[in-house]
Amino acid sequence: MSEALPAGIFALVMALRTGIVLLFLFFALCMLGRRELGEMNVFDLTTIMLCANAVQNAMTEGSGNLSVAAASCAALVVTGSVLERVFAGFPGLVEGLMGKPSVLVSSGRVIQKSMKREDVTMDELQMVMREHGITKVKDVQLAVLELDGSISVVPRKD
Amino acid sequence: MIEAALRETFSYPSSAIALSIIGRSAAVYLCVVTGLRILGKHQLGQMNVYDLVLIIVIANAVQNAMVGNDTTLFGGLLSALTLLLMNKAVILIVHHNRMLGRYMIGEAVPLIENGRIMDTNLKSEGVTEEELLAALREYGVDRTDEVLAARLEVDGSISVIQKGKPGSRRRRRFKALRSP
Repeated sequence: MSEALPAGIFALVMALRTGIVLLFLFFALCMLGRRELGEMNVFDLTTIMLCANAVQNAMTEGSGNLSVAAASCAALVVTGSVLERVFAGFPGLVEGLMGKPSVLVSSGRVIQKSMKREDVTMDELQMVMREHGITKVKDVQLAVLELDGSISVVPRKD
Repeated sequence: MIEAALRETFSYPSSAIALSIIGRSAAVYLCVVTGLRILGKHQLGQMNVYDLVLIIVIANAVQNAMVGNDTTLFGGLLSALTLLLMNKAVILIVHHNRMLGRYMIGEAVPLIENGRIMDTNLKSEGVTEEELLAALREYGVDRTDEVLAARLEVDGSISVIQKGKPGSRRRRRFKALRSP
């Protein structure tokens, strides 16, 4: 099938496919929630590495052609910068896609609704608290699940 | 020719092959994840450069197992989607089942309890005393007897609770890979 297309068109087709793959992975990761991004563990890292390999043939159809490789890389760079520009220009999009930072603890009290909605366990919250040298929730002024998936903690000042 | 180019771009596998891709990717994911867990590599913090290389190389090794001979666009996307959904499923299970979560992700390990260094734990987790003291210094603590509890958390960082007051970290530490 690939023999039917001239080399130039073939490379362009691969570039197009690469762009589609990148967009797909980007939106899939956003949709699946922030857990994928922050507090990464071995399984998340492994998943991402496996994904990268899984889509290799989708991007290049197993072609070892140098022009295909060049077109593919160019497509990745271009798609990446286009995405950046779009998000820089429309900040509302980021919110729509990834939501807003979520308050998990306010003035020493845990907001159970947010914890449930964002799928954060008490274990995780306590781990982050301990990393700030705090054991009791009432010593936390503010704890927020940020957009990048990390949990930031502001201790009570007294 | 435009038609041929479009067909080439949005190529998809037959439903039989599509099903086999889903099955393969799921099976590969489970095998790799289980393998990693059995090897005890569930904590990112325990990872060093060689472990990272191991993961990368494993991912490359199983690449063809995941999609088979398929080279279509949607075949690859289907494989990636299967992997991401399986990972999501594992995360949800780990969240809602405490015991399984502890098995998969592990638990915080105490390194200092009431001022006393737990040498056996340090040894079993591969933490050197120097690393422990460095972590203490990040909290502005220079003596181990000022420490109520220090734990190696599941994400690889060391948390320090000081005696008396709730402390606060002086410097943000990046969860770097441990040196080999």
